[in-house]
Amino acid sequence: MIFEQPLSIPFAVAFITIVSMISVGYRIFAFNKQRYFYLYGSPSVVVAGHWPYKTHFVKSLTKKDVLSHPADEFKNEIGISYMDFGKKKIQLVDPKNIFIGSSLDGRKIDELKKINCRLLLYLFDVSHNAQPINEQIKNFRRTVSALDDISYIPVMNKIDACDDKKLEKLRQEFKNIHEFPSQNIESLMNSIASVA
Amino acid sequence: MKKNLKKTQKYLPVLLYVVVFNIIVVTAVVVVHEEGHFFAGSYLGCNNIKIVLFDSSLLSTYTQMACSSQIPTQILLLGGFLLVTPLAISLLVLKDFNERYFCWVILGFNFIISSSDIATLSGVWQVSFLFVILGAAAIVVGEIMLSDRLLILKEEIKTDM
Repeated sequence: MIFEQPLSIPFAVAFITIVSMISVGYRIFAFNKQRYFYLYGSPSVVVAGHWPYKTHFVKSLTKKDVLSHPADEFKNEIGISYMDFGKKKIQLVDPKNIFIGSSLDGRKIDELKKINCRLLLYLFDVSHNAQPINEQIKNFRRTVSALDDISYIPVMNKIDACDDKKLEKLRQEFKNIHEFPSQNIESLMNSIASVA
Repeated sequence: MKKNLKKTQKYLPVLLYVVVFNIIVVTAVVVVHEEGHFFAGSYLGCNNIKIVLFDSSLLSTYTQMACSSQIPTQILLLGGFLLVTPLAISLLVLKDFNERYFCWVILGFNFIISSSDIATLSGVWQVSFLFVILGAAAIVVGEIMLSDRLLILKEEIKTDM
C-alpha cells in the first residue's frame, strides 16, 4: 500500500517559496502605499519653532505607546508621529529646522505644503539664553505666512526656566498662549483636537 | 526608481524571514504528515513500513507499507492529516509570538497534501479540489497576517531605537 503525496518535498518548497514571496511582496507594496496615503491624507499639525526640546514636546503629546516613525518619503528630515485623541488620530509633523540661518528653508516648506496641514503649533523658547523674543515672533509670522496663513496655537516652551520679560512680551502679543512643561497638557491637546 | 529600490531593500529581512521559515515549516509538515501514516500503520500492525522523502525516479514523496486486508484503510489514510492538524492548532496558544501565524500556513499546506488521501477516502475526486482551494486560501491568509505583523513590528523597532 502506498500513500503518495500530491506535492513532494522539492515541489512543496518551490510552491511555498513562490506563494510566500508573492504574498510578502504584495504586502510590502500595499504597506508603503498605505503609509504614503496616510502621510499625505490625514489631518496634520506642524510643530515648528525654536528646536531644542521640540521632540520632547512632541513625545509628551503623543505618549510612549504611540507608533512613531520618520518619514522616508521626505528628502529632508521631517519626523512624523501620531497623537490619539479619543477616536481621532492626529498626525504631528516635526520638521527638524525650517530655518536656514535667518531665512526659511523653501524645500521644507514645499514638502510641508504637500501634507494636509490644519494647524501650526509654534514653540517659543522663553528661557534666558534663547533667541531674542522679537526675533522669534518675527520668525513665527514668516512661518505662518509661508504656510498660507494657517491656524496656529502658540506655546511657551521651557517655562520652568523662563525669562519674565519674554513671558510678558508673549502674553501681550497672544491672548491665548499655552505653557510647556505644564500639568495641564490635556487642555493643549483639546485645543489641537478642536482645530485639527 | 532608486528611491523605490531603497524602500524595498529595507523590507528584505522580512521577506527573507518569511521565505526561510516557510521552507522549514513546509518541509517539517511533509515529514510529520508522512509520520502520521507511519504511526497509523505501525499501530494497526502493518509491516515493512518506510517513509520515502524523495524518490528521484518517481519525483514524489510517499509512505509505503504492507497491510492485511482486514486493516481499515480509513485510519491509515487519515493518519497524516490527523497528526498535523492538532500540532498546527496548538500554535494558536502562542499569543505573543509571530510564529502563531504559521498555524494557517501549516493547516493550509496540510489540506493540500491531504487532498488525495481525503478524495480516496470519500470516493469523490472533486473533494480534492475543494481541499486544495481551502488550503491555498489558508496559506495566503497566513502569509498576509504574518507579513503585516512583521512589517508593523519593523516600524515599531525603528521607533524605539
